[in-house]
Amino acid sequence: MRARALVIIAAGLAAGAACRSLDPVLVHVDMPGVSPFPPDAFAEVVVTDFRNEAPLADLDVGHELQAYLAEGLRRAFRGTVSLRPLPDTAAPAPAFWKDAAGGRERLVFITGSIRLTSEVRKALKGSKVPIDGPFDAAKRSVIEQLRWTLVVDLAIISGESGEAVFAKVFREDRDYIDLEKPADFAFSDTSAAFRERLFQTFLGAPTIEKRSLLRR
Amino acid sequence: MKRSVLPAVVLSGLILAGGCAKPTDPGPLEAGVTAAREDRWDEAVRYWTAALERDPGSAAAHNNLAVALEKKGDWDGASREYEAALRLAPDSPEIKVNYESFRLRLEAGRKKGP
Repeated sequence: MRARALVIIAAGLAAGAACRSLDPVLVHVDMPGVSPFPPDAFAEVVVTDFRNEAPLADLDVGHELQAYLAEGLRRAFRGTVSLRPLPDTAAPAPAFWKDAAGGRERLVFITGSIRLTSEVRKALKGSKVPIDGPFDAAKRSVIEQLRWTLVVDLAIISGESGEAVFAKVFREDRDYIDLEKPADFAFSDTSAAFRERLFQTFLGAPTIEKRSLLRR
Repeated sequence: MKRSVLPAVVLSGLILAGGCAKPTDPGPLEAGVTAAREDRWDEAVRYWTAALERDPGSAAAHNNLAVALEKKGDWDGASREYEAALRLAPDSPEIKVNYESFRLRLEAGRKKGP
């Protein structure tokens, strides 16, 4: 009787295990971002030099940002990416951009202004707060930090209409304990964060999605 | 249990196991799933395309191909394949959930426009 029951259970388990192997498979897929712009909206991107509103002695951040954006776009964008010098005027008229596009279709300009500035900020050091007197500020020590701020006022301009199709001010702050932290280091940090945010806006942010794959 | 019932139960279990078990040649559908799980999506696309050539009415192959096209950023292709899968298997909960997730993600991304 017992042996008979074992045979029945084994047959049932074998059947169950075999059938379960064809269940759907749940996978986590790294999906590319969805661009807010229609597919094939742009065939060519021209990145201009950025107007530098707070020139630094040893770093041309407007020129550096142009090169940095173009390099990233060449990797992320399938169309042509080229460079263009700074326009003579701060806010050129639509006719200027249309003329610069030279009749090329689906061309956009990425342009704007940049400001990289620093300031020393003082703050009370939280770790020195005595437990018996949270308001005894005299016993706290003051720390100094160097804050670098990058502000990019960016516009994407259509070559066909000469009008802006997108405009946004991006701001990135970084605080450093080292009060001598050089501008090029801060520019590297802040521009990387800026570029990531810009590309997510422009090309969409990649996400990890769950999907079921079927096996029968 | 009566003695005569036992062979029938065992036999039906074995037949069921035999029917459900993976065949020696897993076929392009299953091979594509294996490739996708190992992050070889281009290879998976080739397998699922071959699966559709073999059986154009395979909702599973259309569904899987749609996932792969989503992964490549081909939204139009993914939409086409999901819709084909749903036409073939309108009651499949997995295909419904996949398609709805795809559609909502696409709409949300495009709404962020300037």
